[in-house]
Amino acid sequence: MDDQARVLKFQIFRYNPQKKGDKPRMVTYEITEAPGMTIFIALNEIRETQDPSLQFDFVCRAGICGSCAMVITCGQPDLACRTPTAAPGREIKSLPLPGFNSSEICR
Amino acid sequence: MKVIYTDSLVIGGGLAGLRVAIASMQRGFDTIVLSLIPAKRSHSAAAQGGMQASLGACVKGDGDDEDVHFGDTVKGSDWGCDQDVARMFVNTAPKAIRQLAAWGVPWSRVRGGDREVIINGEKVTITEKHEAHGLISARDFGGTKKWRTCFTSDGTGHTMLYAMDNKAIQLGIPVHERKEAVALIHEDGVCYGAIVRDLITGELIAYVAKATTIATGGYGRLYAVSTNAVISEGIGTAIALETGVAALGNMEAVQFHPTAIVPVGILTTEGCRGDGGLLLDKDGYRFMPDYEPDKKELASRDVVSRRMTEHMRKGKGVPSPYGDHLWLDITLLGRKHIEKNLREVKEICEYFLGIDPVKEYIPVRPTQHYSMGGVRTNATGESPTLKGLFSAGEAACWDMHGFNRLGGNSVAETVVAGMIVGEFVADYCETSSLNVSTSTIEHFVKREEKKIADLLVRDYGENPYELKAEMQQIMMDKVGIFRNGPHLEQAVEELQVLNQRARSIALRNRISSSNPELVEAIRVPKMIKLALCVAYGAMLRTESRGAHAREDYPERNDRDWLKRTLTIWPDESADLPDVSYEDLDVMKMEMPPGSRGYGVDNTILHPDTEKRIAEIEEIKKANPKADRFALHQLLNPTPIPEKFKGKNERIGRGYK
Ligand SMILES: Cc1cc2nc3c(=O)[nH]c(=O)nc-3n(C[C@H](O)[C@H](O)[C@H](O)COP(=O)(O)OP(=O)(O)OC[C@H]3O[C@@H](n4cnc5c(N)ncnc54)[C@H](O)[C@@H]3O)c2cc1C
Ligand code: FES
Repeated sequence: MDDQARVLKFQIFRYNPQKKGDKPRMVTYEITEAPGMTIFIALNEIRETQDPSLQFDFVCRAGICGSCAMVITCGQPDLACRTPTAAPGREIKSLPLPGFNSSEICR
Repeated sequence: MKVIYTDSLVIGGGLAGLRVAIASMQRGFDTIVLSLIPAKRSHSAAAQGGMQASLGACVKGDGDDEDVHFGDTVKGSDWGCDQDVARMFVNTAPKAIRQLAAWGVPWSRVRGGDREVIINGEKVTITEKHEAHGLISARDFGGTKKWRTCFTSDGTGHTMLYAMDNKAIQLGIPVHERKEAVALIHEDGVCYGAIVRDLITGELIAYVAKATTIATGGYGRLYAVSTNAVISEGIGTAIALETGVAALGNMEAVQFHPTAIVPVGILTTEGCRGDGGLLLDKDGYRFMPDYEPDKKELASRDVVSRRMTEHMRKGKGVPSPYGDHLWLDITLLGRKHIEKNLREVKEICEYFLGIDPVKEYIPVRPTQHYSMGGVRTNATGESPTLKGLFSAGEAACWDMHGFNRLGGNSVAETVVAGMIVGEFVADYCETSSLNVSTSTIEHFVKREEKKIADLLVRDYGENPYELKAEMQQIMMDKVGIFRNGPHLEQAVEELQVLNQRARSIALRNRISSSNPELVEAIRVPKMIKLALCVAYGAMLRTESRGAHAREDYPERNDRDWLKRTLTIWPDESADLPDVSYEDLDVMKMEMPPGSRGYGVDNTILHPDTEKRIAEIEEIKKANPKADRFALHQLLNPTPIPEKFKGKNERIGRGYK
């Protein structure tokens, strides 16, 4: 791993309505950026190594099916699988797309 | 216990599943489709290049018909396919594509007059017939004699799946999404539906049905790098295996596509080469003509993938931090063509490689792509050993692909199998009654409940993500494009160890509702079993056929291996499946084994081959008046459903 690798900070909207007493909140995770990393790769890494309860949806991981649409950083809806971590900057916010007034939370 | 009753339960909301559901619904049967995700996001949406059907409308498709398509398909399969199924398929494909047009697929069309195309690296002008103007066009694909692959730019799967799903919606077919079938309900050799886990609430539901169809797609994700969607994990195939009764066919037959991008493995369609793209090595040299002077870049997929690997082994690959690769050059096609007919490819290059394929070469390497193996069915799509269980699409080993599938024949199979198998599913619903006791249903619900409960209480144990990663690496390293005895033996041994370890998975997130780690914990043991079927089958098959290439047994051995591998897993506590073989009967083949025309022909002949060739000659002589349709009947009678028996019309040729 080269010395220059950045540590990325992910602020992710978490809420599991199935879980009693669970409240909507933002949770912060940190990971080291790898070359060519996309948000798809990063989120999987967070889930596998830090928080196995992290929920997200990827199917084609090729920018085709539309499953991974989310609001990335302030107000940018995009397909997470084809968004390189290099694009949004060091702090990445991720919020679900449907049914949420996400801009409010983002502010 | 929550129980839902239906006539026709279809597991899978991709092209194949939806088409089966449409067939049984249209015949008046209550039908439910299950899907992990919203149906329109199924992997079928990612199919790019096209669907084969011998319409013969474009000028380069002139002279095409079912028979030419049949020949290509059988050759492509390296004679490993079921020829009656291939015959049913080629005869129905033109009807399938026309029906899809009526349902709204905007197939790219022929434009009468001159157009410039790239053939063999050269600009050529071809002249489309004016009378064909507006008919469904086709592009060239690998391993085909004619331009037969019908397409909508390079978003063919997308348009097909959207039209299909819209048709299902129009018919009022319920798709229960975010549901995962985790086991089949069966008793005394009859299948009665599935135990299904709601991926949001975690609830287990028994879906009880007369007919159950597995249409869950392929098992590409047994490999670390695959062109497949991340949900193509073979779970439907695995639950059939776990019955201990249903057999899987040819699991070792795994296709590697020549051109997936490096390192992430996203596909760039065969249409790139079909439309004139070339493969280049590190010196910018076009190497395929040296290996395959006749078909070059458009040899069958298995052949091109092996040739590329051979060439890289000679040190001709382009070194990269992710290992060697080769170049796919589509720059010669020009911006206009790329932006119209290869626009998904262009987007993929821009987003995932940061390059513009109009000006730059695409780094590619052969990558796992397609599962020829799957739930073994007979020609009607039903499991020969588990009644009431059907399968269609990539999940099935209906077996029109044998050991290598032709590009464009897969989405075609999903729809055609959906049509044909769907009719047999409906027939089954019509003639059978549901005789299953509540206690049987309860037994299966309880069994699955217990498995999940065990996972949720275990304090220490294996991490499912780690097990999966280890399995995927074994498959990559030892069960790849070129295979050999020692590697395969190691793979089987290592997978057996993983299979044991998978019995003691423990979770960090111990909740029963929406929980990705639990989903993984349920799937991984199933995937390891499938991986064992693939590796063990590959180890035992001491020949090379299609995509199964053994370095230690390079010849195709018809004498000993003209057979289909059947795998069952009768003993849950075992670490290996039972493998047996089903002979392919040369004396029933419409097209007896021959050479595929690639490299040196080192086939070890089957003793019946000569006999069958002579017999066919005699049959032809004895029936001098028989046209090609009458000959199909004489040489290869098939159980094609009545409604699809009609002849197909072609421009300039009528119904001949
Ligand atoms: C990138 C790419 C491009 C391709 N391009 C072409 C092409 O141009 N031409 C061609 O002919 N072929 C192509 N193929 C192959 C072809 O797309 C597939 O073989 C075909 O679409 C598979 O369709 P299917 O209906 O069998 O399965 P899928 O479309 O994979 O659908 C599977 C369905 O099953 C559901 N499912 C899975 N497991 C479960 C479970 N346990 N419980 C409930 N539901 C479940 C899923 O949710 C999904 O709805 C391509 C493949 C890839 C990877
Ligand atoms: S996962 Fe399909 S578009 Fe991102």
